[in-house]
Amino acid sequence: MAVKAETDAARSRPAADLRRQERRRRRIGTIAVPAIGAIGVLAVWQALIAVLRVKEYLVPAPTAVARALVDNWHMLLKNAWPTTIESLAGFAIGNLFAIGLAVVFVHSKTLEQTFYPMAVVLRTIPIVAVAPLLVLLLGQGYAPKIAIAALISFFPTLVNMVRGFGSVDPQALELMRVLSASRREVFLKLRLVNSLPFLFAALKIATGACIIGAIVAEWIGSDAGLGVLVINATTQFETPLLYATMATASVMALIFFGVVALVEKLVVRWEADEAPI
Amino acid sequence: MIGPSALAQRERLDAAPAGAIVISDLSVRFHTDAGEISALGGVSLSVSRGEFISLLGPSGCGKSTLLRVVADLIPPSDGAVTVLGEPPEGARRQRELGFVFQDAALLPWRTALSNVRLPLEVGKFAQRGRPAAKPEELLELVGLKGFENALPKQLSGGMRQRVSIARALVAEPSILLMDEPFGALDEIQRDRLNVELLRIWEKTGLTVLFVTHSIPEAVFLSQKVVVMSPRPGRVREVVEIRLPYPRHLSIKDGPEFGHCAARLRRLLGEV
Repeated sequence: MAVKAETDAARSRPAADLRRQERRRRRIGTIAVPAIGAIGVLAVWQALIAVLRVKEYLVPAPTAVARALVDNWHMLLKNAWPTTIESLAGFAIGNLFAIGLAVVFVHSKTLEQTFYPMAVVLRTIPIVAVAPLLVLLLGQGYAPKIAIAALISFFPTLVNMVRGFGSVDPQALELMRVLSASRREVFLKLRLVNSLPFLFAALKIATGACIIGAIVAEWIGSDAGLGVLVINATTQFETPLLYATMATASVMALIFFGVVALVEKLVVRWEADEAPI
Repeated sequence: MIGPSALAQRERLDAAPAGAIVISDLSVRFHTDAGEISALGGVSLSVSRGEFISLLGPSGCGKSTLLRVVADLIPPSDGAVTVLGEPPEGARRQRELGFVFQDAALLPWRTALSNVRLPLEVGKFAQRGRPAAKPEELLELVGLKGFENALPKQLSGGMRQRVSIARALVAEPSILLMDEPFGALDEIQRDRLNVELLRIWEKTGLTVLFVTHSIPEAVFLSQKVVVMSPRPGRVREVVEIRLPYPRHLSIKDGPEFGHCAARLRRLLGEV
C-alpha cells in the first residue's frame, strides 16, 4: 500500500511541475495585463486633457500630477508621516479591541446576544458623521484621528472574528468532544486557528479603511497630515497637488495591504484556494 | 458474606460473553421547530469484544445517531447504553473510543503526522497513563509512510481518511466507531480501504461498529450486519455473515457473498 502511494506521488511530480509553470505564467499575466491597462488609461487621460483643453485646476493631466509629486515630495512625505502614525495606531487598537471582544463573545453567549446586535447597528453610522463628535471630545491632537481610524478598523474585524470562531467544522467539534478536550483546548487548537483566514480578510479591509479614517479626521481639525493637504490644495485650486496627495495616500494603502497580505501568506499556508469572503 | 446464589450469579456473568457495547431499548428524540422527531425507537443490540458489526440502512434510519449515542455525542432519551460496562461518558473519558468521521475531519492547518498526534495533546491524555501508539508507526500502518509532513489539502480523499483512521487509533482505544468513513470515495479506493481496515482489525483485535449504506461493503467487512428500518430507527434484523477471514476482494465473486448481499437487499426492500 505504502509502495502504491509513493508511486502515485512520484507520478504526480511532473504534473506538479507543470502546474507550477502554469501558475507562474498566470502570475505574470496578473501583473502584466493590469499594468498595460493602467498605462492605457493614463495615455487616454493625457490625450483627452490635451484635445479637450481641460483647465488644469479642474482636471490635471497625468504629467502635471507627476510634476506635482516631484516638486512637492518633501512636503508630501512630511505630511504622510502623521497620517501613517494615526492609521497604524488606529489599526492596531481597533483590531486588538475587535479580536478581544470576539474572544469574549465566544466564551459568553449571553454577552454576544447582548452586545453583538448593538455593534452591528453602530457599524451603520457613517464614520464621517462620527468624526466631528470625536474631535469635539478628544481635541486637536493625534487622539481623535487614532480613535476614528480604530473605529473604522474595528467593525469588519469584529464581524469576521465572530464568524471565524463560530464557523468551525461540526465534525471537528465532535472530534474534540470524543477526545474529551477542554473548552480552552477547543478554543486554542480549533477556533483560534480556524479564525485566522477570517482575521486576515478583515485586516486587509482595515488597511485601506484606517487610512480613510485618519484622513477624514484630519479634515475636521488638524495642522498636519495628508487630510490637511487635501483641504489646502482644494481651497487653493492646486489641483495637481491634490491628485499627488491622493496618489501618496494610495501608495501608503498599497504598501500596508501588501505587508498584511505577505504576513497572511506566511501564516495561513493551509488554505486550498482563496481566503473566505 | 456472599451467599451461594450470589456466587452462582457471579459465575454466570463471567461466563457470559464480555459485552463491549450493550444497548437496551434505546430511544432518541430530537426537539426541532417542527416538533419532536423520533430518531431511534427502542433499539436493542449487543456487541461482543472484538466483533466487527455493521449498521446498514437507508438514510434517516438513525444509524449515525446510534453511533453518536455510543460515543457520548448524543444523550439517549430512553433506555440504557453501556460501553465496556460503564455509561458512554466513562468510556469516552477513558479514551476507549476511536471515532472516524464521514469527511475525515482533519484540521487543515496540521500536517498528517500532527493530525494523528492531536488526540495525545488534548483531554489530559498525558496524565492518564494510557498506552499510546507511535504516530509515525500508525501512518506507516495505514500506508502513508513518507507523507508525514503533507497538509490535508495535498492528500487525496482516500489518503485523508487513512490519516483519520490513524488518528482514531493513536490513543489505543478498544472500540472503533466509524460513520460511513468511505462513503465519499470511489469504488476502487473504497475496496482498497476495506481490505486495509480488515487487516488492521485482525491485527489489533478492536471492536468495530461500522455505519454504511453500502450492501457490498457491509457484507465484505462484517461478522454481523444490523439491518435498520427508518422513522423511527429500529433494528429489523441481525444477519450473520459466515464468510471466513482473512477475506480478499475475490470473495465478492463467490456465491456465498451473493446470497448474503441478496438477503440484505431483500430485507432493505421490505423496510
